[in-house]
Amino acid sequence: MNFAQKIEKEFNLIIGSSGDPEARSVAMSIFKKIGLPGKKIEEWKYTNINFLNDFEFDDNEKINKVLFSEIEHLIISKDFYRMVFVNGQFDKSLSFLDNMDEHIKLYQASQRTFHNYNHYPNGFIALNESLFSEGSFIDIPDNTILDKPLQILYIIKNSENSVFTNYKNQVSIGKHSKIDVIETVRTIGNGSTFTTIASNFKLGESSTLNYYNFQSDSSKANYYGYRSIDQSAKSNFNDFTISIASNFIRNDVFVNLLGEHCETSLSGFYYTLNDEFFDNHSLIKHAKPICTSNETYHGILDGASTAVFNGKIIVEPDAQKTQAYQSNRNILLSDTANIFTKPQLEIYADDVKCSHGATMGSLEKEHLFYLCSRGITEKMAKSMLLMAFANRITDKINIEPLRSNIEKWLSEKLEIE
Amino acid sequence: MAKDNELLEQLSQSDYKYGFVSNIEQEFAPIGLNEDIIKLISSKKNEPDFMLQWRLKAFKHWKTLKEPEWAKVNYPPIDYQAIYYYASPKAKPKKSLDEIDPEMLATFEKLGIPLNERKILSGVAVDAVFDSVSVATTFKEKLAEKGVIFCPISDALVEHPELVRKYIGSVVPYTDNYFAALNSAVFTDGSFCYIPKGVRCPMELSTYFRINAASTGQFERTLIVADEGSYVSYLEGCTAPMRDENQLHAAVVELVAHKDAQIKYSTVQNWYPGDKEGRGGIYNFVTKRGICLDSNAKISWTQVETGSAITWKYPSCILKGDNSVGEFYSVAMTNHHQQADTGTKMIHIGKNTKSRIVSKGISAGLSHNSYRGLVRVSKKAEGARNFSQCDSLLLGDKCGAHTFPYIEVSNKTSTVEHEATTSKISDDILFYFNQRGIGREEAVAMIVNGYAKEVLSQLPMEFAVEAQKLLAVSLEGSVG
Amino acid sequence: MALLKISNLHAEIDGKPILKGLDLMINKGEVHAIMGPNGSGKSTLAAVLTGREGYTVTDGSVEFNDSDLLALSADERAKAGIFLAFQYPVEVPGVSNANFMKAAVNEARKYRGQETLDAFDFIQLMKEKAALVEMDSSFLSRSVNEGFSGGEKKKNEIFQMAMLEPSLAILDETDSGLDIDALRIVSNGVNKLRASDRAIVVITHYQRLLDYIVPDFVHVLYKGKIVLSGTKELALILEEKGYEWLEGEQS
Ligand SMILES: Nc1ncnc2c1ncn2[C@@H]1O[C@H](COP(=O)(O)OP(=O)(O)OP(=O)(O)O)[C@@H](O)[C@H]1O
Ligand SMILES: [Mg+2]
Repeated sequence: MNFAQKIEKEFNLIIGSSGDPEARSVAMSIFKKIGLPGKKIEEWKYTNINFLNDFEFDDNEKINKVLFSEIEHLIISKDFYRMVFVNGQFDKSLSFLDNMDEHIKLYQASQRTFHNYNHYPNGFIALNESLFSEGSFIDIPDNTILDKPLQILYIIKNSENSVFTNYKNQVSIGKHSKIDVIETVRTIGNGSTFTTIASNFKLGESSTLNYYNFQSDSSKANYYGYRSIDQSAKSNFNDFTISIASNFIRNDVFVNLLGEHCETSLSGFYYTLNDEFFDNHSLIKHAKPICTSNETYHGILDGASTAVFNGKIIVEPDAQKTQAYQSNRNILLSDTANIFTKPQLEIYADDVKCSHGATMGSLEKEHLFYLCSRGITEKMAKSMLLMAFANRITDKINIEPLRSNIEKWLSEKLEIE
Repeated sequence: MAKDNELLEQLSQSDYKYGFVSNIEQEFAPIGLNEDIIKLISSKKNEPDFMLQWRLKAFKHWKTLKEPEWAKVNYPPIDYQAIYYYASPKAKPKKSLDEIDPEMLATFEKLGIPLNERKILSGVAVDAVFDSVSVATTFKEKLAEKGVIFCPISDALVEHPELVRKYIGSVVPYTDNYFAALNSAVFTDGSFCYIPKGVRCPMELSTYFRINAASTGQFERTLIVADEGSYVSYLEGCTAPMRDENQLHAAVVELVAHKDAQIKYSTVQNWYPGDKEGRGGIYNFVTKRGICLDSNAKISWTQVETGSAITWKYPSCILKGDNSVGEFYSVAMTNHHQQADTGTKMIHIGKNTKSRIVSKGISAGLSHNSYRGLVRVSKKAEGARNFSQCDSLLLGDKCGAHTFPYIEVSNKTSTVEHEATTSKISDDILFYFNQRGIGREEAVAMIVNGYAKEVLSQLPMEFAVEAQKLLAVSLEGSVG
Repeated sequence: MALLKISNLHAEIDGKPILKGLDLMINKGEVHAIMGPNGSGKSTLAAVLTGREGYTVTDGSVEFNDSDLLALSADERAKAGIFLAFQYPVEVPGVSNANFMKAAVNEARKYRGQETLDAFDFIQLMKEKAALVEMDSSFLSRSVNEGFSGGEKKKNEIFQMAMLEPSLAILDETDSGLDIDALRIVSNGVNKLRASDRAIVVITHYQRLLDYIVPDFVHVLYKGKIVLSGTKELALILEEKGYEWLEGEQS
């Protein structure tokens, strides 16, 4: 069964069994109209989704039971709240939500009806809306601070077969409330996977969301992530997108600054190897005055890999006193790696301070020389410098176990041959 | 604020000073575009057959294309059948400068471009293009002594057909884009320069473009070839009368720099921008590209863009030869309803190629000003370097400034750096000027000129002064 | 005759009162020093006098040469003869010092009904005034303050003062960022600009400067008011005791 057939089948299975069948049908008809995003579309100019053509789905795939021991190493801290999804379904036994503030409402997305889209920015989102099997629907009331981070783990277990899963999340954060969310997708098995996750976050006044997306998946894993964040006045959003391994990753982050005095920070680090393809797209829309946004992405490219960075900042006519900064820096380690960068500013207000910068190059020879002159081997010096480059992003991660976890992964990967 | 509004009122009355119409008897080809028109243009110019065939192929290709929509500009659909593709002064021009229609001489005199060689002090050779034809080229003989060919491209097609044939379309093929295809089919005149091996062109070469007739498009084509080790500095200026209708200007400029050759191309673009309500003005849809064919060649574009209702223009460099250098210096100022989408492409192919981009956008009024650029480092371009600085200055809260840089790098030994900023003039700087007794309006003019200085300083002296004045004029009515 | 008369001046920024009933009188030919702790309102006073935007005068009056100073715009005040040497001079990319001064000097001359200077006279004038603060003439062709060191910026301020020959010069911490030699040079420059028809207000934290530019009067600005005035000896007392003792004195 190819990808189109698979979509057809999934749709027939899911329609009527969960969620809002009408919303699913509308989304499917839109998907059929707009199709998968192609290179003709400006935002997908550099994105190659041909991997989908090679997908062969086994009709008899069965849901595998996942044991705690199989995921234990993926748990950032056993202390943290945890929601675990396996092959598209919520797995209660692997999750840990004990003693959570009872005012916080947690639902399975399949049991709620909610619409988030007036229009679909691309076909994947329409597809996700029509096919999502599960996800989380979280409602945090005013003045509530989640005492510990919530880790959401999406596990795909397969043997050789290809698995296609779709999740949809919604998180509403009340006034003066705060939550930390860590999301990770991980494949256990040898088959290909394609996972789409669409999440909508609504930040109430003076609320805070710290969101961490950490992808270090198998070489046959493919991921499309969509996050839309609506920020009310004085809210604070910090996003970390750390992509270390996977075959294909595309992140679309859309931030809407809908109130005054919002602060947004998007931080990203990607390390691409072999023929991996990682693509980070973001759009920050300053609709109201006196907001600050700060976007910093660092990337290291090796092998025949490709990375794309596309960041767009729109400052609407109302959004006076906007400050927006954007920076994308890349280090190329191989002759066959490619980086495509497009930092964009669209500015319609005058009292603004906006800037962006992008650099592409190899490691600074002088820096290398300096370290070597202190008796450090070149190999060692290289990994130290690369690690330092990555740490510029990871240092900002406030959850200690997560940071050390990521840095451990990184230091293993950045052992340069 | 009230004060600023008054100022605005008062200043926007100051007219576009080149907006007059000359009363010169002209002949037109029938309105509209078809193969017969193209044949007519070609035969009017006694072109060799290869040119006609090329034009017809371009036309055929053009008909298969759609107008590009990706630029951040908006305009109502253009009716390509409502344009005159050929307009020429009736009195047969040239041969000798003395025989030129006195009205024509007066027109150019009024534009500050004296065609009388005795009157020219600055030592600039001028090719003057009036609507569809070149009316005069000065200093031809003096240049010929050095072997420099500088003439209307229509003359070059008759006198040096092989040279033209070799290079035309080699940098901008007619398949390149919609407007380039259109231009290839219908171009009427423009300048041709050839600088032979090892020659340093003894004076600045310049072409002055003037649109006069109503409902005419101007489709000029310029081709500059700098042979090995030669150097040329070329200037381009343009104006048009004030008319309520929009007029189309779709030019193509091709530059070819051989080994060790240098071409410096400067433009002060001052087409009629339309009135303050956004009526009329030139649609300036131009394809400009140069190629550094061989090692150590250098192409440098400098542009000061103040005119046109819409500008769509990306002077580019293909850096094919090793160690070749491309530069792009640009000031684009938009006011009232003007729209500019301009920038450059630097395509690094050869080893150790270098490029530098300095773009200064200034938006005022209700205008929109976009920088759009591409820096591409291909796999083989070892040691390539690019530095880009794109700044935008906003002079009002109803205008827009946008930056769309594309960077594509496929070589690890290259270094690409891009920086961009967008801001208004800081209150601190304005107050500093005020505190020294300098009023707001003059302060803004000085600050804007300072802001553009890095680009203006690339222009030849006389042009730099002219450009500064132009910036000041375009700023008028924007201080608020 | 009083050159500047400030009476009961109240001013605020963003609704926050900073100056709270300030009185000060300055005559021609005098040098006044204003001292006071950080944040007491010294720079605010300078900003209000020079007409900077963002400051609202809520009460009181300022007379300059017997006319209402507050009615004038910033550039009119400058042309009327008020000069501020900034605590933090801004950098102006692309505008040369020479061009900047030419515009300023000619504006002032026009205002006074004088002929504008021709290029030659102007360059002579600039060189002469630059010598006053031992500023190399290469600075004249550089962009205003761009890439200048802290001390060079301050010298440049005094150079501009010399060019513009104001009747009231306010020097806001002109001594900060100067090394010992530069302090002497700048002070000498200022002293040479002392004149019977000119008053100078020196805002400083340090007695050191007042050893060079000896003031006729010293005032203490504290919490938005002049709380104490005296002669140059007052500065020595302040140097020794600091400002805390004023808390008791004041109430
Ligand atoms: N734009 C502003 N918004 C709010 N408060 C301000 C602003 N500018 C100045 N202030 C406040 O006004 C007070 C007076 O500031 P001012 O700069 O006049 O002090 P100062 O006496 O010059 O201090 P210093 O000796 O440190 O230079 C300070 O508390 C300062 O924080
Ligand atoms: Mg101060």
